[in-house]
Amino acid sequence: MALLKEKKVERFKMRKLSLDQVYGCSTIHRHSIIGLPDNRVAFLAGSYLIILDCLTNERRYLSFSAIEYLYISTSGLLMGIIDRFTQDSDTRIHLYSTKPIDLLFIIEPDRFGNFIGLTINTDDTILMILHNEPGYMITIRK
Amino acid sequence: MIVEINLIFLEEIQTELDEQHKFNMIDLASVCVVHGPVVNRMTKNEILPHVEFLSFCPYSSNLFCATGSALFKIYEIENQNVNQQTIHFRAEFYGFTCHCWLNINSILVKKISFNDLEISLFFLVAKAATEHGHIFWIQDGSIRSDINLQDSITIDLNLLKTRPSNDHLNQQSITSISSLENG
Repeated sequence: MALLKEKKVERFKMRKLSLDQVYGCSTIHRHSIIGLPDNRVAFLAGSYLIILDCLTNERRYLSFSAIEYLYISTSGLLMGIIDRFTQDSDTRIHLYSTKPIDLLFIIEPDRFGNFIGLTINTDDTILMILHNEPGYMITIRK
Repeated sequence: MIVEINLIFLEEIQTELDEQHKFNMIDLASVCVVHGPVVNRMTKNEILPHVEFLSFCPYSSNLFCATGSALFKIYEIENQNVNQQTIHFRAEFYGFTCHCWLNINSILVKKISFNDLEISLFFLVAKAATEHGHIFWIQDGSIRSDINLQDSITIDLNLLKTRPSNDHLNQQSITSISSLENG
């Protein structure tokens, strides 16, 4: 992951980005980097989720088994992580608040198999989970 | 020589599976989006649809859309019920890879055609990819506009000739699409 800083070039009256720092980021899965409120980003690095404050360079590390999906709600207040914790591809969902970073819930696998996607509505009231068995089920939880 | 040192604060947080963190959410509903294989009447091929992308409508918190291969469905949550909205086109003709919401009842999706006739036409015109990126503008369940990105992408034909034929099948496919906040 490259952190770019914006520079204004007066001569051409346009904005340019310059490379500021480079961080190691796992990109084997899609959705491996998200933007958080207050100038922070969260990205994957191996089995860690790194939360980086772009202004102070402060980093926090969250330890997982194997993160497969990273999601930030539209409001920016909730962060969802699908973590594969066994060799049999069993997954669980960790739901965090982003201000401050705090674990709210853990959702264990249920009758519809593993989790492969999640989304949260704009009011942060409904969580929708996409399962891989059977035939792509969606469960909706309030 | 000036050396700039950035202060890095490292804090490792172990996620403990505490019983207190387990929560009780209310199960609202379960939806089986895919009910079995569908047949593309143009190609006579049987396709098993699957969901690739799922999102809530940012303008209505009870409306959500599921798209994927041969699949395009919009649902509305009402109390404990999930009602499927009517779609006025045949989703089994297309492979939708992603979508984004533009406005109320407007949704922009990208598709790859399964239609053999369309693929043949692309071969004649572009002499390149067999699956091309299209962007649909869908409003009220109907396709209002079909943007063919073939017209806006320049292909290096010499490069394609040197590659194996299967390598450039997805040359022009789009994997992600997003709308601007200011529209």
